[in-house]
Amino acid sequence: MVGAAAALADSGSYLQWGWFSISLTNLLIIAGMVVVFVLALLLPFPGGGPAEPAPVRTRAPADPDGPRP
Amino acid sequence: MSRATVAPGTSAGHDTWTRALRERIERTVPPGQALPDRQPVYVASWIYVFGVATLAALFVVVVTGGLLALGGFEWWHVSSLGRFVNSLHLWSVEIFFAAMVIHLWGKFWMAAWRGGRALTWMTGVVAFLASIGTAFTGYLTQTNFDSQWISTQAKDGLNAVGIGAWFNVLNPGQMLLWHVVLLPFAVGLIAVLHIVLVRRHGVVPPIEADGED
Repeated sequence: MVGAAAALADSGSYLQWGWFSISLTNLLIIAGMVVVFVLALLLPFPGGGPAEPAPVRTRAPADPDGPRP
Repeated sequence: MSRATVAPGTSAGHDTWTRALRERIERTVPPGQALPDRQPVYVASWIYVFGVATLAALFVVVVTGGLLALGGFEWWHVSSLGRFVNSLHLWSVEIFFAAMVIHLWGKFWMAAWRGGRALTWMTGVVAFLASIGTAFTGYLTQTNFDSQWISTQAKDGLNAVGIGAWFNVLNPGQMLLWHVVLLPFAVGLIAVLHIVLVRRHGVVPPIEADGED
């Protein structure tokens, strides 16, 4: 019970700017996601597999049998 | 099927639903595009990883959710193994959403709806919204003080928008079934459609590499 009461009493840290309020945990998670996003753009991707230089086709080829009735 | 093997009284395969379905599938994702082993050079970037990372996390979410369904409430609250699986379910959901949002950021800034990919974009949007609903009903299904608090807080909001009578967050049985049946089915179906569309149209090229638009 004491542990449960302590857990209920610990509501976490919140940051507030005017009407905007966010928990410190959520803010750190969002900041971490932004960091991962930026790293994904900047870090070189390990090579290895065969690459196809031409852009992929953006539409499926037409049906060789023509449109079905 | 050759004509010689067609049974008497049956069609030669020209106007059957099986042929129509097969041809529709072949038109939607032509052979070789369903599971390609080669990709354009621009795909060799970490930003293209987060879509499949989302899928991998979804796989773990579904498997651990199935295990929790087998064990039941007491198992995931009391048993050490049940609590471990419960944690796996929680953290795979966290990774699922983080990867999906980073995937969303990447696709937004490269305008991934270009080149006839609007439906691919929109299915991703719907998958995101359905996933939020699934996660929300998951919070309501925890069967602890947290789920009670969230359901009572959400009840006022959902009543205010007029859907509280049909989507009653204070009804744990209804929320459980939304969480384990209806919404996972919706997310799975939309995810499959999203992937089929990605395979049909190919991975969107970077804006500077796209000569078509």
